[in-house]
Amino acid sequence: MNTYLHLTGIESGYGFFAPNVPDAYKLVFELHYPDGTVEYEPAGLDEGESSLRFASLMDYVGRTASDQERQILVKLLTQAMWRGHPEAIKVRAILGSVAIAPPEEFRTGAGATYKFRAAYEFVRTEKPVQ
Amino acid sequence: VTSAWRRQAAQFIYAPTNSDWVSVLRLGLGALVVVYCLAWRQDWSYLFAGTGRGLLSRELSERIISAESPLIPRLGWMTAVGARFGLTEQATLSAIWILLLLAALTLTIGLFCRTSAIIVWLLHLCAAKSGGLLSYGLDNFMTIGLFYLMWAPFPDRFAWDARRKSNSTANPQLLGIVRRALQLHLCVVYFFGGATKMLGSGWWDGLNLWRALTREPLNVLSAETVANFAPLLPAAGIAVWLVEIGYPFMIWHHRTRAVWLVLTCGMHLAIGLGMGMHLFGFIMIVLNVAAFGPSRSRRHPPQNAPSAAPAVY
Repeated sequence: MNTYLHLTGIESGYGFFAPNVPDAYKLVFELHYPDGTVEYEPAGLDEGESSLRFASLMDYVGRTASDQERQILVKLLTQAMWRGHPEAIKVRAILGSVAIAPPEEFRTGAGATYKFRAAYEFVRTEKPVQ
Repeated sequence: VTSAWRRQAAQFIYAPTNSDWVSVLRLGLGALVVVYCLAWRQDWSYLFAGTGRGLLSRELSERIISAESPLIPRLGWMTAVGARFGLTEQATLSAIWILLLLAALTLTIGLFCRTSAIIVWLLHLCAAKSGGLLSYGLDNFMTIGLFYLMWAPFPDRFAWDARRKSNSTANPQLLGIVRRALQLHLCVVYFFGGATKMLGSGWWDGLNLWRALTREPLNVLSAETVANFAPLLPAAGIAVWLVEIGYPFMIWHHRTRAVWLVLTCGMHLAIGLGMGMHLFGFIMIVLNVAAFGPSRSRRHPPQNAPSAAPAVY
């Protein structure tokens, strides 16, 4: 039955943005270099179709009930990012959610609020991210 | 009474129709998959690569779907076959991308319709399942649409195959059954979409629309622009809910069908343009027009008619 549901595309529900629109999740990497410098790099993909898919992944990372699963996914994302910054010796991945103020507060100057959710630290040993 | 019910049910299910809806579905989905392939051309290998080579890990997604069923198609099967022939993972993934693009092109022009539809459905399904953590509603509806298209009686009258084959008349009743299944499926989709929205407080005060429109990466419009229209958001939120929950009730009657179809397609057009979800908006419009869009009258010959009949439901 599971196979059939997947083959036909009916394995999941149809409650898009329901019952409520969730907060957006954001992952930021804090890269530490041997000379003591620190750089920040947000996780993400380019504009367009890929960015929608990445947002969907971030929703999953942020909302999963299993912290172990979240850690594995963040570790994989860190690993992918680290390949582009092989000189970094330590990476701290910081996960947070962003919620924009309601329209009436936004018009009086309130912006988005960031809520810290989790942070994971990965230290390079021999190979990136072990 | 029972026989009358049975007769009515049979008339409903087996109502004959022509192949115009198949043309809409084939052209729409074919074009969509072509754009889908082109949109992914930069990231295709990066997103589907195995552990340590891509963004995530294809093996991880495939392990997750294996827990649901080991029979669900996936790209890993194809990379394993490719490896037996000495192909690298990168080469196999590129070959899959090219094959999907070619099949989508032949589907769009209507050449080898059935084979093309099956290949497109299978390869897209493999990609959607192997990249499960990166998939979203678009992939669900592509799978749904391609599944119906795969079973649809081919060729439709605008397909290249219809010109190649002289005796290509599809069975009007079979055309009707598959279209009816698609129609009922869409009614279920919208009804549950509306029903679950009913449970959220944010659809009544406009807050959910505000959050959806200002949320990255859907924030095509600036928050300042959306804030200027804030007084309209509660009405717009309720309108979205009304269109969805009312769909299965209003789409069947010939007097309300056109209005509801326009409202639904308008909603998806707004989602596509206002939230940057172009492909998602497009596929929903294609599915709606294929399912409930106007077609030639049933009073006219359904296939190979000498001239186009007036557009009626």
